Amino acid sequence: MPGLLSAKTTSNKQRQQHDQHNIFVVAAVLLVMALYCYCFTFIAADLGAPKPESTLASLGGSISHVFDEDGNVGSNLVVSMTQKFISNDVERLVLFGVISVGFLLAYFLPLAYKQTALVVTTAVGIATLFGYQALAGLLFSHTVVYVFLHPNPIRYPWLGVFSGILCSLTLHPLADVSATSITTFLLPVLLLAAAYRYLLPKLADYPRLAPIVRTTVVQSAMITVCGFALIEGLTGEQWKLPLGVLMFFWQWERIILYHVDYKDGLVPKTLSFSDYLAVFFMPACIANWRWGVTIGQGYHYSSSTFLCENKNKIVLSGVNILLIALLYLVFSDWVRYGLIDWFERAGIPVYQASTRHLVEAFMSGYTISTSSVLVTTLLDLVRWLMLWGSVVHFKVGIWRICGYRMDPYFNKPWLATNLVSFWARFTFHYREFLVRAFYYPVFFRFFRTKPVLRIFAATMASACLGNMIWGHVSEEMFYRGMEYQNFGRVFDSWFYFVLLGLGITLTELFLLRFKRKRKPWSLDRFFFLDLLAAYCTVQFYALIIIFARPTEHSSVGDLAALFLLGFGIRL
Amino acid sequence: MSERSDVQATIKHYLASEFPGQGNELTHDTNLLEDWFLDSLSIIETVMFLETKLNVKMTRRDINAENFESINTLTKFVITAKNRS
Repeated sequence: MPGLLSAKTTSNKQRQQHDQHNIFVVAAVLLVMALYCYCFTFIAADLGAPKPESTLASLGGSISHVFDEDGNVGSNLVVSMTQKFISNDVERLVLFGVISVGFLLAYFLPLAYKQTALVVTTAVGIATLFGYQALAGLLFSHTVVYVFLHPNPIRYPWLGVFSGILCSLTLHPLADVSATSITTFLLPVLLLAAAYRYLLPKLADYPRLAPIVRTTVVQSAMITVCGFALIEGLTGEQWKLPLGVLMFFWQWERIILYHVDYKDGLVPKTLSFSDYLAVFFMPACIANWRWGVTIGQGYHYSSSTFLCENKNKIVLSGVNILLIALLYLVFSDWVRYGLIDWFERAGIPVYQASTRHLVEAFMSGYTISTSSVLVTTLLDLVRWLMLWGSVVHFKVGIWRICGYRMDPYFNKPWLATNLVSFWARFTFHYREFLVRAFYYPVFFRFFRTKPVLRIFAATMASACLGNMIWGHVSEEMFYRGMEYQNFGRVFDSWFYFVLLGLGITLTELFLLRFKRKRKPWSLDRFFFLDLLAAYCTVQFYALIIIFARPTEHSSVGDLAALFLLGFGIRL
Repeated sequence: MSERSDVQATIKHYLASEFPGQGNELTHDTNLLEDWFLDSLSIIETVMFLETKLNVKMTRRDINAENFESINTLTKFVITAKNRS
């Protein structure tokens, strides 16, 4: 089972051996990118070629819920949090251009320059799509993490001034040449340069303080959003993060993993600034910035997967996964609405395949059947799996064509025959984040002589507590703003996290108690039990999502009544 | 029997009896991560086995691909960890 553990370390000598060129592989990648441009941008119209919808019509085909009004394929692949361009199509065109340039540079440049080229390409892409201020904010935030984790004012004497300039550009760019404006711009530069030169080296003299400072910097996203949300609750004053800082905060789970690697001694203390940035600056991050944010994990995982086997094999696997993503992107809505129609015609109301609509209908007093609960929640999960699968497959595909043998984020979750396997297949990199940041620390610290309690504590710490607080509270603030009421939005769905944690714990304990004698999906007499187990797993997960979709007036008791209705129990 | 072959045999017996029938022959060089373990829980189970039966005190950083690649690498890790403590 690939992806069980972080990959083995890869040496530069091995990477050199794996770095062989093949022009057909390059052509395959460019062809796929051209296909993406054709489907998801208006390049066909600009070139006077038939649009995707017209091409399909000329072949005698017709398909619903696939094309936009402009004749291109409607897509969930977007460049979010920016409106610098007139339409998503233009943003996507820039994105595909950035990816293609990044790929060509990473493919053809000598090994020493490949990752730096990807950093520069990504930076140019971010500046183009989000603006230079966003790039400055993102770079500034990463500079702060870098200088605290790898302090080296002698090697990088300019880094203090550089971070100061980035800070000024982020907060208040030079608008004119007045004395006030220049002073406001220069003040952070001077302060940060002085702190970097004189205060940072002193930190090494306080071995107990240094880890606390590093942890504070790494946890800055949580500290900031919770702090400002509390201030908003107390004073009513709202704060807004600069875009670049917000983009950095979206990467904070990877920063935490980087810190875990750092504490485990897996990150070289003298890591260069560009090698640090190579972990986080990837063209794959630009698309749907807020989705699949853990892809790539920390330093050890990303550096170990870079050219860890034949480059062309990795790139071709990327092409393969990009084509799968394309299928999801093009056909997911068609499949979704087809299923809705089919079940509605069969007399089972499915509430637009939305669990939220189902909860609203239930709260409005509609009589809902068990089959409706089961099918609606299942279709909602199918919808979400296809949506999620399309974007994270795209991102993993981009990592791969850039030379990283990234494990799939989304690996056929419908084949999972238990909740542990489902969790790993559905959201692999996020699960790794929870395991490394929460499961292992608890597992290796508490109840070492009591296996059941040990697994219970570790699983609840990761799947329930870590998932809810570190995975969702902060994200709620990133999405909706640093407002006090947003705490409530996550805590309203606390029972979902408890049920998920309990479900995974019980599955783990069951699997420990009753040993697996065979691999699932072996073609033997137990095959149908695999089918049943897979359905039960997916259906259980679909049902507990009811608790993650509360309405304004629903209580946990109301949601539990709907949940139990799924089991045929009407309260 | 040397300590090494003793540890090797104990680990092999454990893996063969706990996760049987994986369709491959279990040798000292079998890639456990690719061809033997069923899921990440298998690794947690193996950790608990190493701790209780072989008295190895493990930490988070010991769970890595280098140590868990094969019976040989696990054996090497166990002997090193025992000497460490």
